[in-house]
Order: sequence, then structure tokens, then C-alpha cells
Amino acid sequence: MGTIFNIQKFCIHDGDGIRTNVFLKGCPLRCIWCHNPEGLDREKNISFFAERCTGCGRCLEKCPGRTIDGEGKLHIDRSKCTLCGSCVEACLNKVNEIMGYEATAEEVFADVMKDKMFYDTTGGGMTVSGGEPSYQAEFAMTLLRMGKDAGIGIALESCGIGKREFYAEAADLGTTFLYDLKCMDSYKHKALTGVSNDHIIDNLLYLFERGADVRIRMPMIPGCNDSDEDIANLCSFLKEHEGKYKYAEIMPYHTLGVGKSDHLGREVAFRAENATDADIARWVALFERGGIKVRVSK
Amino acid sequence: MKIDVSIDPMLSGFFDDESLELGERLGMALALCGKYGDIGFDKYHLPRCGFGTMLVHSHHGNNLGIENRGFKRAIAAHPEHEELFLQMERKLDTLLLSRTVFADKRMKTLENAMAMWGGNGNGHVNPDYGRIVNLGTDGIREIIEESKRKNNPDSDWFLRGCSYALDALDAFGERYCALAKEKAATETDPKVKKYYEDAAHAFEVVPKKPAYDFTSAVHAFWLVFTADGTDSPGRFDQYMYRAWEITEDKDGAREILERLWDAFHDTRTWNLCLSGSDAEWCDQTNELTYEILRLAREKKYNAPNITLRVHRNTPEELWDAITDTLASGIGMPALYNDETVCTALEKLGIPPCHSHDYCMNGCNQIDIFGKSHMGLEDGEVNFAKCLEYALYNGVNPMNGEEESIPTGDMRLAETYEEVERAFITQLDYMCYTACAMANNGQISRAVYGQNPFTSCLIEGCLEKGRDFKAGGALYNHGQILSEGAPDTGDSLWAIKKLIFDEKKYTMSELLDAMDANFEGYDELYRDFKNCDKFGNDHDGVDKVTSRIMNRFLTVLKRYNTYRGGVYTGGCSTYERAAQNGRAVAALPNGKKRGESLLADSIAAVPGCDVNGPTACMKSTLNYNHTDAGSGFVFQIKFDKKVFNTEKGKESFKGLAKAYFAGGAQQLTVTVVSPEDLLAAQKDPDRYRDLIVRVGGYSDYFVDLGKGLQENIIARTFAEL
Repeated sequence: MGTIFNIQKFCIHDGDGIRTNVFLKGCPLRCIWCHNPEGLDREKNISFFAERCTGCGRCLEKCPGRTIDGEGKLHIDRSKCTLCGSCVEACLNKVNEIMGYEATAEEVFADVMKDKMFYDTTGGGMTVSGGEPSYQAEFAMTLLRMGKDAGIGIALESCGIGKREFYAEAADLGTTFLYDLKCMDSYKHKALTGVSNDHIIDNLLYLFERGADVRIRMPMIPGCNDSDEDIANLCSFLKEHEGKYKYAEIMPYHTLGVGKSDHLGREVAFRAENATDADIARWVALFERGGIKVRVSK
Repeated sequence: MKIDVSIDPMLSGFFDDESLELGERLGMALALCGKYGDIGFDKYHLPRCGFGTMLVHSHHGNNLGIENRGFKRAIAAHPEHEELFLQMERKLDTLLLSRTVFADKRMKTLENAMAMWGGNGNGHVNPDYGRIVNLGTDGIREIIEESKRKNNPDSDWFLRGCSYALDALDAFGERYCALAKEKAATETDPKVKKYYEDAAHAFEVVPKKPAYDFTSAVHAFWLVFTADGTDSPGRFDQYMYRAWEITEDKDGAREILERLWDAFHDTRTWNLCLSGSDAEWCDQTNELTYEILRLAREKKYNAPNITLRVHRNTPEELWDAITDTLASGIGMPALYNDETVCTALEKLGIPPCHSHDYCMNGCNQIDIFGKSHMGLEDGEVNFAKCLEYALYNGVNPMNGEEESIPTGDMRLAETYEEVERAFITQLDYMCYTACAMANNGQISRAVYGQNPFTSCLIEGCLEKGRDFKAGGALYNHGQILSEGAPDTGDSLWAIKKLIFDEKKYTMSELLDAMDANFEGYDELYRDFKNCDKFGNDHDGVDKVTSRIMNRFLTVLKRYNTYRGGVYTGGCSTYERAAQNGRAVAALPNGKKRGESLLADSIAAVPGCDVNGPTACMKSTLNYNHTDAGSGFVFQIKFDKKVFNTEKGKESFKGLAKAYFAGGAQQLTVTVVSPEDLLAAQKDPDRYRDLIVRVGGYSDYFVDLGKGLQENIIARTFAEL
């Protein structure tokens, strides 16, 4: 049994061909720019889309954590929420949504296999993503193994923080790794994500050594990890290991995660604008100067 | 009753001898028109031909029409003939009136309620223009002569009518030859002078004899195509290829092809079909196929409507050309899967040697090129209205009248099966009514809609000595379209799940809520509206939806067409979807009274397919695509960004190939971004060239009605 928060079909930017992404809940990192905040906690959360609330009061009956003020505005005390779901049942306007649900690997995989005909014509398959899949290592590995047995492509999107054995086992299965590389400076990495990158780099070097199918993905966050020096460091690392990864891709920052955090009641200290075309051009040029040709993801 | 040819050759020929059969009279009218009618080159220096002035002979099966204003003008110009003109006009009016589809009161009532219609579809056709290009009128005359020897002399009048029609073409050819020479002599622009010289040269040979190069082939083609009223060119890259192949000067050939392309656009030409396989599955793609796709990309016209046939041996190079063409944003070509279409046709009794000759007429209905008259849109059945009659025991909730057969009080239904059975009974009844009404239409057209001209270009007519409107073609199946099957499937599934499985509501509650248009039934409305919907690869609702669609496709085959085939079904949604939606009150899928949105052809109800294109495709594969002999349209919208990347293009190819391997019949693609559409609504002038797919054809977005524009915007975009 695992906890997932989404199964997304027809993904074409996360690995070869047409893919289905399975998003597992829970991540040990706390990147300040996180764009999938609903994947952070291992446990389920509740999101409130307060802008949809009409103040009808139908949800108050069974929930002690709610009040409606004189102006018809809903106030929610999250500390009293037991995730009972009575508000979801009561509401007519989809104000409340529980993020995450439990499912067996068999259930998830049956859904993934519904699109097998599309994997077959494109060399696609399943991408296990998150959160951070290694946080539910056993569940993630079961899915990957099922994928391998069914003969579809398998990929793992990971920040690299998992145990060595996890990556070893995944590599044994012939997994494609979509491996995040956020910042080469370990102190800075800790400041931005809550953890140092030592272990992450170690795991990456291990996969390089094994000759695994690795694709590097670098989130580019304006003002955080995109200084000339940051990029120069990334370049020298990539240059050193050229040929050991299939390609390197930058993922320009977007603000989609901010709204999601608001609905989850999560404080977001970091606010920035969407990366502009000028930002992207600058990054690409800097990488080029460092001798690295990067792809730009959508 | 005679009028001089100088006043109106068509009228003069038609009223020359009123004791003759209609077909022969029409042939005589055409022959005189060929000799004395107006001729002229169009702005592309191609010979644009046409029959008729006051008496109009055109395509779409109407054959005869009256230009009443023409009569007024003629009377003003020739007051001495006033009485004669008025008499002729009256006679023609009577003739056209007798062609009106006979429908009894019951049929009329159901038609007015928009539950179904039948019989007023005149039908596009796919005549074999290649007969003129590759056989010449002389070649066709040989067929007529042979038929005369073999057939009962009773049909001689028909064959005489056909000969007259060919005479008309020959006469046009001779006169165009002379006109071209005259024009060439005075033309000062050397380029245009050359055009006229080429035309003069071509018309020395065509249309009497086969074309000798691509230029002469285009002249012969355009002459007969415009004479036929610019309908659908059909398998153009196939029948024009002989001439293309023997032409040494390919640059010259390309140039006239480009002029022809402009002329196609100018005349809003209908369907042109490319590539395909033969009965041994050999690929038929040729140089001309690629030339046409290139032109389509460069010119970005909305017409002709290009369709392309793919199959197991379609070369990768052609797939690339397809994606490049789609990426240009013109919404074409629409793709058809030979594997499924040919099987569907073979199930109708058409042998492989002919099933592989299919192409599309008009928007997207299937015909056998030059061999069939499968009556585009003989009729239509509105599934949602059938459901309404089932839920209200034959009463139309829009007006409270008892209009259809009673199928039981659904407030008393104890099982879901009772509800579905009531619906199926209504659906069967509507299919029967539509076919019966369509047959009335076919009879009237067989008698009053003779067309010797087009009959010359359809195999079987000359051989049998019978007009194509009267069953002369080799294949004469009929086509009835469905509307709103997914809306109905969603509704039935919601009834099954919420009322009979979960027992959350009762039938009475649902019907009360629908009567109140869901006002005051917020919770019920939410649950029915949010219930599982077709288009998400959800087994339960997909099974119900496909079951009712498959029933429709099977039931139709019980009925024979008057012309001598069987009825077969299909699904493609056009502007009528909106009207059909408004004719239906509240539905259990959450549609409210007055809302116009109904499902987009065989795909999900707009906005209901939330799991992306693969899930929606999977849902539609539950239908029996090989039972839909009339075309089964599936439309998908892509954001422009998808086609901007190699990965996106590859993914599209994989998506299409998988869908077809899964047994799908058809795929149309629009590449556009939602922002474009919204911007185009605000500022139409800047987006004049924005093309979207509507049902089976493409059109300029800004030219569409507001309702249809909204519908297109509302349709789900493939999110990536």
C-alpha cells in the first residue's frame, strides 16, 4: 500500500515516448521554490479553495474546526482537522479537497497499464515521481518491478536523496533516471533545500559508474541557484562527467506551486516571478560558455 | 412551348419536348448550354464552367433549381414572352415541389422536436472525374454504346440523356479552345499568353480524348469539376497521377497545380482525399501526394478539405509530412484508417477491390470513389431526445405534448435495466422513423432528381442504364448520423450508479429535479454533474455509452435503402449539435435546459474528459468502429506548443498510430492555443486566417457563429 497524489496520463516531457506519471507522496527535501507542495508530506493533507466558497454553511455541521463570520467568510482551524472528509461530502462547490489517497501497487499499476498501447508505439511507459519516490522506497520499487515485468519503459524521477540500495536496485531493473541537480555548493544546497548535496552527488556518481541511463534535470530559480558561479560549477561538474548522462535539461521556475501552497495552508517565504525568456536565454548562454549544451523543458 | 437558345439555352433545351423523360430533357438542356452557354476563364486562367442561368443544374443532388430573380430579369428584358416565362416558371415550381419529401404527421412532429430527421439530405457525391481525364468523353461513349447493346431499349432515354451531357462537355471544350486562341492572340503579358496557348493546345485534345500531360489533365479536370458544381475532388492524387507521371516539365506542372489550388480555395471546394492502400495493402502514396501536402502547408487555405488515408504500410516519410502539415495549424489533413474503414465497408458487402477505393464526400462521409452514392446524411438521430422520451414516457418535456411512443412511467422503474430498455425502445423507434423518412426522400429524388451528367461519372449507372439517384451506382447504402450518444451514456450511467446501485436518490427525485431544471436540487445536481463521465477510460460509463452507440449502428442495418443498399450509421457533429442540445431540456448528466453543448462527435462531452487524450481515445475504442460505415469522427485539440518540438511531433505520431492500431476509424487534429481563440473572438480581423476543425471540415474561426465559437473554446484542450 502506498500513498499517491496523482496519476497523470499522456506526459511527454518526463522520459521517452508517451508516459504515465505516478506521483508518490512525501519528500525529505524542503526546497523553498517547491512547485508540488501537495507532495511534500507523507501523510494526506487537505486543500481549501476558499475562493470557491459561497458561505452556505453546509460544511459546518460535522466539522468543529470551522466558523462563518458575519460577512459569510469561512474560517478554518486546521489543527482540528482529522481528515474525516465530511466537508468534501457536504460542499457543493469543491472548496475542500483531500490531497493523496492510499492505493495498492496493483491498483496503481492497473491504471498505468490502461495506456500500454500508447507506450508500445512510442517507447514510453511509466515514470515514478513525487514527492520523492525513495521516501516510499518499497512501493516505488514494486511499481518499477511491475513495469519491467510488463515490458514497458520505466523511469524514476528523483532528487537523489534515497538510500544507495534503492538506486542500485532500480538500476538493476534498467530504470531511466531523471535526476535532479539543484546546486553544486553544498552549503547553499542546504540553505535552499534543507539538506546538503553530498549524498545526492555520491548517488549520482554511483549511477554514472554503473553506466545507468541518467538524464540530468536542473531547476533554475531566479536569484537562488542561477548565479554565474552556480552555473559555472554545474558546468564543470557536467563537463567532467560528459558522456555518462544522456542529456542535461534546465527547468525554468514557474509560480504554479505558490497557489497550491496557499490552498494547503503552507507558508511560502519564497516568492518570485515566472522565469522570463531573458532569464532562460541567459542561462542557456552561460551553460554554453561552460561547454554544456542544455535542453530547456517546457 | 419554345424559347430561343439566345435567351436561355438551358430553358430552351429543357422545354424543347415536354413529352420526353426528365433525364433526357435535362440532357438536352445541358447540350444546348454547352453550345451556347456563357464561358470564360477565371482569374487563375482556368476554364470555369457551369450549367444554367434561370434553370440551374448543380451538384449536391439538387440537380435542378430555379433562379427566380433570373425569370424576373428575363421578363423585363423580353416582355413579349412574359406569359411563356410565367408558364415555365410554374411548371418548374411544380416539378421542384413534387420533389419535397413526403412525411406523415408523426414524422414531422419528431423532426420538429429535433429527435430525428430524414430525407432532406441531397447528398454530396464523389464522381470519378478521372474518367474525363483518363478516358475522355469518347471513352465514356464506348461504355454507353456497349450498354445500349446489352440493355433493354427502355433505358435508352437515360443513355441518350447521358450522351447529351457528354456532348455538352465536348462543345465546351471546342469553344474554350477557340476562346483560348483568341485570348492568346491579344494577350500582352507573356506569362498569361503562355497560359492561354497551353489551354488552346489542351482543348485540341481534351475532354474528348485522354489528357496527354498534367496541364491538359488539369484543364479537363477543372472543366468537368466546375460543370459538376465543384463538389469533392475525391482521390485526386490517384487519378491525376498518370498525367503527372508522363509530364516531363515538372516545374510547369507544379505551377498549374498551384493555380488549381488557388481555384479550389476560391470555389470552396469540398473534400480531397490523399494516399491510401490497394486491396493488397500496397501503399498508393506518390509524388503528387507530397506536392499537395506541401501546397497545403504553404497556402494555408481552409478549402479544400484534405483527408488522408493511412494503413499498415504508410511510409514514415508520409507520416512526417502529415505532422508537418498539421503543425502548420490548418487542422488538416484529417486522418482515416484503411484497416478499419475498409473492414466496415466490406461488412456492407463491398468487396476489397472496391472498399480500398473509398474517399470522403463533403465533410467526412464515406463513399466509394466513382462507384457509389451512399447518400450523405440521409438522416440523423438525437440520442438525448430519445432518452428524454424514455424518461417522460413518450412526452416531450419542452412542450408537454405526447410525441413519441409510450415506453412506461420511469418513476415506477425498479431496476436500471428497465430504464435502459425504455431508452433502447425509443432509439430503435427513432432509427426506424429516420430510415423510413429517408427512403421517402430517396424515392422522390429517384423520380424527380435525374442527373445524367453526374451519372456519366459513376460506375454502374451507364452499365445498368439507370440514374445514380435511382440506384444506378454500384453501391447504394444510406447513412444516418447520431448526435449526443456520450451525453446520453453519461446520463444513463449516472442513473444506474446514483439511483439503482448506490440508492442515493430515487427516479422520482431525479425527474422532479429535471422538471425544475435542477433549481433547488443543489446536492442532486452536484452528484449527477460530477458523476463519472465518458472519455476518461472509465469502464462503467464507457460500456453504457458504447452499448447504446453499438445498438444504433446495428439496428440501422435492419433497414434497406430505397436505392438498393442498407442503412449504416456514423457520427460527426456540426453546427446542429448546438441546436440539438437546445431542443432538449435538463438531462441527468447535469446539462440544463437551454444549454447548447452536446458531445463533440464520438468523443466526450466538452470539458468532461479530464484525463487527457489517451484516456479519451481509449474510451472511444469501446465503440464498434467497423460497424460505422458512415464515418466516425474523433477530434482532438493540441496546444501549438506540442507541435513545436520534435518530441511533441513524435508523440503525436505515436498517439495516432496507437489509436489506429486499436481499431479507430478517424482522427482530426486542431493545433491551436486557447489564447488564440479568445483573442480571435475579440479581434477577428487580426485572426482571419485562424482555422479550426468543425465536425468533419475546417473553417475560419472568425467566420463561425458565436455559439459554435463558444463550443469550440469549451472543448477540452490536450494539456501537456
